[in-house]
Amino acid sequence: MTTKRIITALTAIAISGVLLAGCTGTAGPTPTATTASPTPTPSAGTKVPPPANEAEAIEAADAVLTQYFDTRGEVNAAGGTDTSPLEAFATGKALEVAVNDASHIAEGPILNVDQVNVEGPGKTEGAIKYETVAAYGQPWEEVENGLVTINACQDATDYKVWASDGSEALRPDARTTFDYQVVYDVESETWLVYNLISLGESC
Amino acid sequence: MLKRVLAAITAAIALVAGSVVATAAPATAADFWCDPQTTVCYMTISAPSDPAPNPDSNGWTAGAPTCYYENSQSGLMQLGWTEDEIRVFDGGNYQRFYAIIDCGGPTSYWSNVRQCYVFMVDGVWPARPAGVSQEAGYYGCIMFQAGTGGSPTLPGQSNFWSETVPPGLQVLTPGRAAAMLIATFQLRGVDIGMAPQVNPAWGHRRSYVGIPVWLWVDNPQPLTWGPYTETATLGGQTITATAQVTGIRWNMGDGREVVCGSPGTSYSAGYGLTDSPTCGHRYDRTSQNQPGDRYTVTATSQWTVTWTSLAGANGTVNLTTSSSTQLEINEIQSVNVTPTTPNG
Repeated sequence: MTTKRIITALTAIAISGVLLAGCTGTAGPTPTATTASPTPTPSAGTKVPPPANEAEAIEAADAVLTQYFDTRGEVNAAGGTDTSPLEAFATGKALEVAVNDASHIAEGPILNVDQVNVEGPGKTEGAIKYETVAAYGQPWEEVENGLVTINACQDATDYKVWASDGSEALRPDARTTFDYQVVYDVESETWLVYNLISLGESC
Repeated sequence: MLKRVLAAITAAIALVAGSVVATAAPATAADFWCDPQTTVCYMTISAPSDPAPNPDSNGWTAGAPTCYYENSQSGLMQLGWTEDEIRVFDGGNYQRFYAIIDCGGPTSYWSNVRQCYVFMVDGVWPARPAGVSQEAGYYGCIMFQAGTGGSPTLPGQSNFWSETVPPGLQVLTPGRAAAMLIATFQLRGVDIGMAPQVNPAWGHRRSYVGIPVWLWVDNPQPLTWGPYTETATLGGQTITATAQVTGIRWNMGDGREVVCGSPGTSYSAGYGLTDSPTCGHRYDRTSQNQPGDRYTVTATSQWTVTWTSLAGANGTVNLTTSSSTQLEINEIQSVNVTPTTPNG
C-alpha cells in the first residue's frame, strides 16, 4: 500500500465530505492548525510532533476527541451558525457529521418527541461524552500510531436538544457503542477526529 | 405510542448498524430515522424528493445482505451510477445518497457502517489492547473507491478489533476457533487411586475413622492429567491448544474437601500406617448415615487449556472433569479389626 494511495483515499473521503456538506450549504473539511504551543503537549488543536509511542498517541487522540465533542456542544449551544471552531479538531466524516449537526440545529426543523417536525432553529445544552473501552494505534500515513481507534460507549445523556417551540427533540438511545478514529495529520501537525463509526449496540 | 417510538428507534439504529436484515418496505410519512452520530432524528419523506422511487429507496437499507456505498448524488453519478440506481434518505432538510454495491464474499464483506470491505487480517496480529477480550478478532477495512468502469480499487486500509464477527463474514476468530477445537477434546476424570483399595471380597473400599486415606491419580494419561495437545485449522485459524490439569479437588463426601496440586503419591505397604506426604484425608465419623453406608468421593480435575493461534492471538480456557468412587468408613471396634495399613 503506497502512501500516495492512502492520501488519495483520504482525499476522496475529504472530497466526499465536502460534497455531502454541500447538501447543507456548509464548508468542506479543511483542517486548520491553531497556533503552536511553546511546549508541545498532546492537547487538542495544538501542533505536536508525531507520537513517540502508542501511549502518547492514545493520550493525544483522547484529548482531541474530548475537545471535539465539547466544541460540538459549544457550537450547537451557540446556535450552530459558526462551525469554524470544529475545523481545528476534525476532518473527513467526523467534520461532516459535526457541521451537518450544527446546520440542523441552526436551521431546523427539529423532530420532536411527538414526531412533529417543528420549524425553526433548535436549542441545545451540554455535550456528548464517551467512556473508553479500548484504544489502540496503528500506522497511518507513514506515522507509527498515526491512527488511533478508540472503542467507546458514547453517552448523550447530558446533551439536550429542544425544538424552537420548547418541545423536547426525539432522540435515539443515549448510550451506544462507537469506534472513533483519530488521525495524526502530518501537514498540520495536529491530531484530528476522522470518523465516528456507530456499532449499533447499546452500552 | 412510546413502545412504537422505541421500536422504530431500535429498528433505525439496527439498520444503520447493519446488524439486521431490513424488510424492504416503503417508508411512510410517520417513519423517521435517528442518526447515532449526531443523536438527531429525522422525519423521512417519500418521493418526489427521491430521484428514483423504488421499494427500498427511503430510509437506510440494511447491512447484509444489501450493501450500499454512500456519497453525494453527484459523486455517485461521477462514479458511474445512474439516477435510477441511486437511493436517497430524505429527512426533509437533510439528504444522504447511496448506491447498492456488491457485498463481496464470505471472507471479505462490505460493511455499511464502516463503508469499506472488511476481512479478517492474515498473519501475525498486534498485541491485543487492554479492554479487548481474547474472543475478539482483528479485521482489515479496505475503502471502496470506484475506478474507471466502476471496479473497486484498494485505496486505503485501516484495521480494527471487534468482539463480534462483522456481518457477512464467515470466519472464526481465534478465540472462537480455539473454543471449537477444545470442545472436541475427550478429556475425562482421573482414574482414582486410593488407599484403601477395593477389597475383592467386599467389592468396595472400606476404611476406618482416624485411619489415613491416601489419594492419588492412578495411571495418569494425557486425557486424564495432560499435557494433551491438538493442532487444527478451523475457519481459517490454525490453533494449537494444550490441556493440563493444575489440581484436583477431592470432595470426600463428609463435607470436607482436599485440594491437591499434584497427582499425589500412590500407596505401597512400605509406607505403613502413615499419612500421604502429598494428598490424603482422615475421616472423623463413619459413613453409616450416608446412602448405602458409603461416602461418595469425587475427584474434580481443574484443567487449564492454553491456546495460541498462528495469528499470534492466545488465551486460556478453564475446564473441569470429574470421577468418583464409593468408600465405607467404619468405627474401629476392637484390636481384631484394627488395620495395620491404610489399605485396610
